[in-house]
Amino acid sequence: MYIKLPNGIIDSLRRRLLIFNIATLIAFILGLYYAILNSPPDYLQGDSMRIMYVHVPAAWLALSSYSFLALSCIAWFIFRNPIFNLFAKSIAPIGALFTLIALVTGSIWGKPTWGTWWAWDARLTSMLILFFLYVAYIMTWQTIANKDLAAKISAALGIIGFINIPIIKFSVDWWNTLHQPATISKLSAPSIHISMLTPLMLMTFAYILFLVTVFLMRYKIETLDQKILRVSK
Amino acid sequence: MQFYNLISRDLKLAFYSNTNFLFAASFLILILILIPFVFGTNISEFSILFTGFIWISIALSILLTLDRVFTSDYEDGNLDTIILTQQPLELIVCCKFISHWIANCIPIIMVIPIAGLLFEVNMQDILNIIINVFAGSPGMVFIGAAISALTLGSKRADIYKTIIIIPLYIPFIIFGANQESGLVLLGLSLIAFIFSLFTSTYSLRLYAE
Amino acid sequence: MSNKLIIQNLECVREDKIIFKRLSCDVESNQTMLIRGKNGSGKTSLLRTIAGYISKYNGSILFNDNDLQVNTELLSDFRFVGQKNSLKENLTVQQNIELWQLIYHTKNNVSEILDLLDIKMLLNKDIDSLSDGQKKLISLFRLLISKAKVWLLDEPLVFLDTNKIKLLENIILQHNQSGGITLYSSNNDIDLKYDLLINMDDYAVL
Repeated sequence: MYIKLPNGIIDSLRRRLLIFNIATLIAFILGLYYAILNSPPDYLQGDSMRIMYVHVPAAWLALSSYSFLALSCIAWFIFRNPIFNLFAKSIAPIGALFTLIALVTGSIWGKPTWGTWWAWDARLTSMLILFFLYVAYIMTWQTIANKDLAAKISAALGIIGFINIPIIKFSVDWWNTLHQPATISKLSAPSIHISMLTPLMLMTFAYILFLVTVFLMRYKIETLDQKILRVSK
Repeated sequence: MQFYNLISRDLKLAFYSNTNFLFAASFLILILILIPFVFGTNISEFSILFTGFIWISIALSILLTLDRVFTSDYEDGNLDTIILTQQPLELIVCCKFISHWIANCIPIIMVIPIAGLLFEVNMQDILNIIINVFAGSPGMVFIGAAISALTLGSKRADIYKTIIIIPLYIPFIIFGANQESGLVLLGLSLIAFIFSLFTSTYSLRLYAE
Repeated sequence: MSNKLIIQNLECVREDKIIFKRLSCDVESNQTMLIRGKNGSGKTSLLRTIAGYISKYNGSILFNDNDLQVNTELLSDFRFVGQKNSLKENLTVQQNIELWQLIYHTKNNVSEILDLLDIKMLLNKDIDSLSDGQKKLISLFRLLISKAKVWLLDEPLVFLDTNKIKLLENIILQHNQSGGITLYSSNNDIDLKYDLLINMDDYAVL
């Protein structure tokens, strides 16, 4: 089975890259406005809670990006179409960035809230592992000389690392951790007030736009890299 | 017969290369010597840390000597020579594993009792530690060698190897620190053996081209 | 004892690129074949394919009417000496020879070989203190350490001075006269005596 490269779709999206850039900027400005100025402070934590609006969407998208990466790797294993490697390579640095943002902002948030910059509990440790998985995925492509072998190893890495995602997701349910349990899930109405939900959703939307914009840029770069590799042989 | 020849070849190489043979053992001793300076001279509390430090120094000494398994032979052409003798690749890989384990871990095992004396660890505990090291260290050697085979041609692979290998060592270290887990470690080593054999022969076949 | 190496329509692919195709030649006992070609034209790939290092290729190589892709155990009669010297730099010559003896599974008497190559006085010297020509000569030791019917030499003349080249010619002569076949590649103007010539340009794929 050979899936056709959706280069047509991606090219048409890329032509509108300027629109994406502007939309992302607007979304972030709007989201941050709501987050910083137009939402109430927490009754316990005060204004330090506002960092949640940066931390939570980053963490959500870090997990989603890895899921996308793992799915691309599985698809590559099944169909052996190089486009799936391009997808995975494009999303990896974005996911790594989001994980890093989540870790750093989480650490900054943790200091006033829990009194410590870091704790070795399940969720934090598994997020750290997620970061290293992203780094390892990126480095596989850069260090292994034989590109076929690099493809296989990185795909295996992506798939095996997927086991980390449920661990992260459910770690706050399974173990008694420092990190708070999930407030927003798909199955029930969120137990969070609308005045806090709005900036959260806005910021999430802004992050998603950012992801798509950068993904489109990176995809083009990865395709060009691939072409250079082929021509130089 | 060729099995013993290849192993003796690697052991001779390790033995001739000046003091490489003693590297692993001296690594352990140096780390253990530094401990009193770090923690003060209250020796009785070291027994808990003792096991941990032994396993950490095993992990580090394997990591630091990984070049000797495949990379140095690959770079000067000896790997070519060995592969061209038409021995099955699995045999060559097994011999490399075994000789690397002997060169690295046997000196450490020999040093453990002496180190135990330095830290007033009683004989029963030392025996447990030695059994655990015997069971678990082959697995660590196998994994290290396999990852080394994967990154054979590349120049900047050091950090990458470390990032991949250290997480794979975590189960060994966790169970190694636990007293009664000799069988678990043996099981882990066997799994590591199968994984490493498969991966290394596959890599060597690719790099042979 | 007569040996025959037949190569038919050999095609070699490295990293998804065809380097040469439709290469055919016959070499018999007591014959030396020179493989000439520019850098990157596939000389090393050709020798490595014959030696069995590269196992996937199109075409066929027959040794004494046996297909080498099928009867791979025959490859143990082939000896390949590549451009890397296969020497451990921090050891002495003597120690390197001992290591090779273990690899090649032989306890043959080496002193005759040492006399032949005239390196007895170098035995206890470290490899990194030798000149490149001496290192090349010692790496040729591998050819003599056990009997092989086909010698495949990749750029053996690099770094060798006139005396050593004469030495190599004598060694190859002795080998060929006892039924052996020699193939070697060269880029330079200096060549050893040869009976057959292959020019890689004839088989190159542009």
